Amino acid sequence: MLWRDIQDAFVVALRNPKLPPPTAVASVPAAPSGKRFNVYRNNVAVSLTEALAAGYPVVKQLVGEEFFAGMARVYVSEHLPTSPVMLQYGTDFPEFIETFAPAASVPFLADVARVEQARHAAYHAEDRDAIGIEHLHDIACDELEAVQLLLHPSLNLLASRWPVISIWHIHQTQDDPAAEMQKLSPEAETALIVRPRWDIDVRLIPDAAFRFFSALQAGEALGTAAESILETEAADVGHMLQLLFVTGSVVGLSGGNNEPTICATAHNIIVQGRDE
Amino acid sequence: MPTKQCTISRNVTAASQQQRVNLPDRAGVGLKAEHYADILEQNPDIGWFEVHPENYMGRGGPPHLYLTEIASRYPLSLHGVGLSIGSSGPLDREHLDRLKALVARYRPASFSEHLAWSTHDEGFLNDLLPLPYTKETLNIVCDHIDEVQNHIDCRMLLENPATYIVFEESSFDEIDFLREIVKRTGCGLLLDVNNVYVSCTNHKRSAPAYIDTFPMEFVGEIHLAGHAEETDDAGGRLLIDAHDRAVIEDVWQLYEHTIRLAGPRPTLIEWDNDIPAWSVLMAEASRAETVLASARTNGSQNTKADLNVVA
Repeated sequence: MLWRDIQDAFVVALRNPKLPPPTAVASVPAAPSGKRFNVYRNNVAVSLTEALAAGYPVVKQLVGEEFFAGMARVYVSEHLPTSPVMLQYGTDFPEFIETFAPAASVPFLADVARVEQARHAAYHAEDRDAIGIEHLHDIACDELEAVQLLLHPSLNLLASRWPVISIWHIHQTQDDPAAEMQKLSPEAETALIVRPRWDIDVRLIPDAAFRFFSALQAGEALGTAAESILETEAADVGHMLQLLFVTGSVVGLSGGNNEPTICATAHNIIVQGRDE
Repeated sequence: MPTKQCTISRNVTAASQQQRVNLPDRAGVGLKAEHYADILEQNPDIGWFEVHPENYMGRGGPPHLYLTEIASRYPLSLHGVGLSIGSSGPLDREHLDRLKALVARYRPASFSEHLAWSTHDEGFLNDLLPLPYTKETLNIVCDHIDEVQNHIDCRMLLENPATYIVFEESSFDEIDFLREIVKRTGCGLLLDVNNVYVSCTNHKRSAPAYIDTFPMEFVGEIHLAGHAEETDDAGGRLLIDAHDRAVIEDVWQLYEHTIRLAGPRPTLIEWDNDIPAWSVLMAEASRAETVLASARTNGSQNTKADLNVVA
């Protein structure tokens, strides 16, 4: 029997606990090999479930160990890792949760999973040094609108119909998260997640900032990105830019020239830019 | 002063073939994220650290920041769990490229992998699965090891597996199979003493006899770990290579027997699940260090000159 054929049968039996061990498998001295083969079945199922659980601790807390194990079992049976790099495993778990009917009673669960997935991605993202907002000071007013901000590779922007950032924070700090959950008002939240060096920053941002940063992340120049902000929010653009730089989310600038006319602060510049 | 570089290329001069991998003949431990801070603070007197390269295949982040610092202080061993060398299908070239990049980045003193498989058509199964020992699988494994060594330009060590079943197809004894692989590929061996104990118990063989037959001249590293015990369908002992507890007394005795035969060798404590406090892991390493120290004092019949890697 070719090794390839034995391997095929081995994997089929490994993935289906109802089947007997493959016929090529034996034990010494000859005895039923069910329990022995089950060690491999168990290793595969448990190691994949644990890998998934490690990436989604708050999801697990929210639904409880037993429910999570059941949900993970279904996910694992349908989604084997596509590569041996296990830190990439489970990136589509939020989408799976969304379609997993038994979890429908926890409508915010998939978005909490997205927060955890974004943190995980930020943790392993490429390292880049952030730059300070003073870099904008060197740019001429009339060039500023054309400037593009190069954002940190770890930056992730999230918007949810649910207060998922608050839910996530509650599960980091509170002894009795369930009680704290009762106090939450069911409001939409938008957040920025970034890891400028060691620590991951998970912070709530205004909806306008989410729109503005998303446009910048899509590669829009400052002037175009500012158009995603409403007239009434325009006065806050300077603060939003400050927030982006203070969180270490900007790693470079492109476009624009270093003309001699220097504007005083980024705040003034952007507001002027919009009013022109 | 040995360099930390994984420099043992194949197909080079006879002189370099005489070299050992450059891990020191001391105790090391598997590096865990839980212990990063303790290690950087305490600078423990330990010989070396080992990591699974797959855990450092993200683009950046704290794992790399920590590993860079720790690798600047200690020799490093990369111990792969994802190559699936025993698989009938081709090796994953993207994975080989990632491995090559890590070898270039960290210049490890050693690279090792398993006589096992983990990937099939459906995907990666995240376990070290067994293979039959036949002429066909011997060719497959040797071709894969050639490919790995050529790709990363580094001589690798191959680890004996812990197994729970055997294959009726097998026509080689495990040690003969390993010997033949070494002869054909020039790779070295990683002798996992706990795996020997687990497999021999599971398959009703004598573990000391396995050690006595093992070709120690090719062993560049030894592993020790804890295992769990269950019973099989016939009520017989079924040991499971769990890496979730301290090394069991019988395995320490088997290790002492091994070191008496082989002389001091780089020895790793593996503890991957239910990870203990750093002090507990360090105590295990200290015990291995004591065994190594007494072997050094007594003088070994095996000198480094005996450890040429090509038969």
